[in-house]
Amino acid sequence: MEKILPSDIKQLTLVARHELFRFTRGWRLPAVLGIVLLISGLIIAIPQIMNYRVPDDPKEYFRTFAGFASILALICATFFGADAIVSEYQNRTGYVIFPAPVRRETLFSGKFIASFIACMIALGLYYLIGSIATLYFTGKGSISILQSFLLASLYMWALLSVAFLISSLMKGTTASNVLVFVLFLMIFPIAESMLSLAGVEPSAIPTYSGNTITDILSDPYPVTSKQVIPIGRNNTTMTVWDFHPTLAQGIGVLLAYGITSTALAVYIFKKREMSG
Amino acid sequence: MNPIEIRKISKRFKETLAVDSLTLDVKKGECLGLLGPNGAGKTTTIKILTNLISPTSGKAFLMGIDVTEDPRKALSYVGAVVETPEFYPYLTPVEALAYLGRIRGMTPDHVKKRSNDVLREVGLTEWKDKKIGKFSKGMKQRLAIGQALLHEPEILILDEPASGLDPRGMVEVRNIILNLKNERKTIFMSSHMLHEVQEVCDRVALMDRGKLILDGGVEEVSRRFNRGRIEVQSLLPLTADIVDRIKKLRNVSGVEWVYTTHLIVDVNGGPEEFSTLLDDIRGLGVKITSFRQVSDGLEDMYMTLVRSSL
Repeated sequence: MEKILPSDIKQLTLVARHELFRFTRGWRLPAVLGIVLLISGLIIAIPQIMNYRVPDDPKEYFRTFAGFASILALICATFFGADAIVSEYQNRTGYVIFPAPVRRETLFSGKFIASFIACMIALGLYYLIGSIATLYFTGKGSISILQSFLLASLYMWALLSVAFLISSLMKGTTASNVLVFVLFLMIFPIAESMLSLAGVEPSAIPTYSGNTITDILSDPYPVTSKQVIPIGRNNTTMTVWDFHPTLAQGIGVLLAYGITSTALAVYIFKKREMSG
Repeated sequence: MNPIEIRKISKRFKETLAVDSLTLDVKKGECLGLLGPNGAGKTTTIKILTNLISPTSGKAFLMGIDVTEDPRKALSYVGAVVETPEFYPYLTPVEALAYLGRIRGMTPDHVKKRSNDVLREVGLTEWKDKKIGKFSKGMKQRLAIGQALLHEPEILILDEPASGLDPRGMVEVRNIILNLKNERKTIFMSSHMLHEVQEVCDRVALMDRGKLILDGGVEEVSRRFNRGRIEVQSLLPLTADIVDRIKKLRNVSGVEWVYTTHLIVDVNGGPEEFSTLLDDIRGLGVKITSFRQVSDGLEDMYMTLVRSSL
């Protein structure tokens, strides 16, 4: 008798719902939401406590919020993506789910969607609090805040894709978490700075493209500029570059990272064996 | 078509050939026990059957469907326990089973009913709403067996199902398997415990270093290795002359003089030959206080295998 299985879409929905349910049971989602509340609270409270001047321009006010968005994206990607795949192998939970009649692609997609939703809950809450604060303190809103949110969402997706790729490759959850965090917090920013110092635009670095999240809040949108500074006595000069990715460039690079990483991660996950 | 068909499967891990051209079938309603010492290739075979790893060469079919080509369809007929699996610690058994049941296409009502049934069967009813993180290894193994039975599969693939269980749990698992056998389920189980296989399986396959070295019905195999070890104890100390004469008796292939009054005799044959041996030894004037079989041929062979793998 032939078994009738749910469709791939139905299974994907079940996997995603199950993963989201797991997040609510674990400490990570509450922890990320706690971080969101803490950071937004600090951003709102510190200028009031220290008697700093609060900008009148909504874009300028919100830029402080947007400055933390990329870090929040990194925290979310690490919490919800960096060990999503590797933990099934290391914690041996894969021995239960992998022999079930569900495609690895479906499992991957369900996990990814759940992680992305969890990340978006945190990012959405953060932008919502920031928008309400902006409206409260400046009396105005700005469409640029929504644009910044969309760019932050794209950055989050690209970062999550890379986190899933690393998770598909690594053998241990700790190493995977550390690698994702260090890569985006240190390695990419350091590479970005080194290239900028050398006068090379760091176009291929995703954190550089992530600068569009805050750049979109500048009026006008910043463009790449250079400054020649004299150093020493013999008319020696140094050129200091201030690179800014264009919107199209930033979006293009983040899309490329997201698509490539996801495709590679799915391929590796599909081929990876539950041995050892 | 047999529910399980393994065709010349090989699996190589770098330098190690874990499974070497294995061919094996399991008929409908049959329980096959795959025996072998550690590293024999039992778990690797089971992992190939459950699509956890891919074979280097060869094919495996479940209900006629190639596991590598269409794992989703092939595995829809299977309930499996592989190694000692883990569950997400902050879920309860009911939640874990609900997820696995729904993935397999069971309705919420059916999952609920079957969850209660299987949790009762594996003795976890009292724990059904407790977090799995608090469970012992044995309890997780029971839950693993429960999830394998949840969707009432045609084929059960069990990798050392009694692993991690206390003696009572082992008996319970054996009874579960015997019940499944009565329901005409096809069972493929690995074990390193010979008595477990002898008790529940119809057929035994022995693997060593990736190769199948023996395959047959439990009774047939026992007949093929129709010999045994007999422990003989005499009332009075034995002499070297008597021991030499026992060595020369019919059907005796070896004698181990363990203690002055204590011998282990290897005998070719079955109960009839054992009886003749008893008469022959008494005929030599030995007053016997104890005469008992300590192992059969299959066990001897298995123990030799296990020793050689250490």
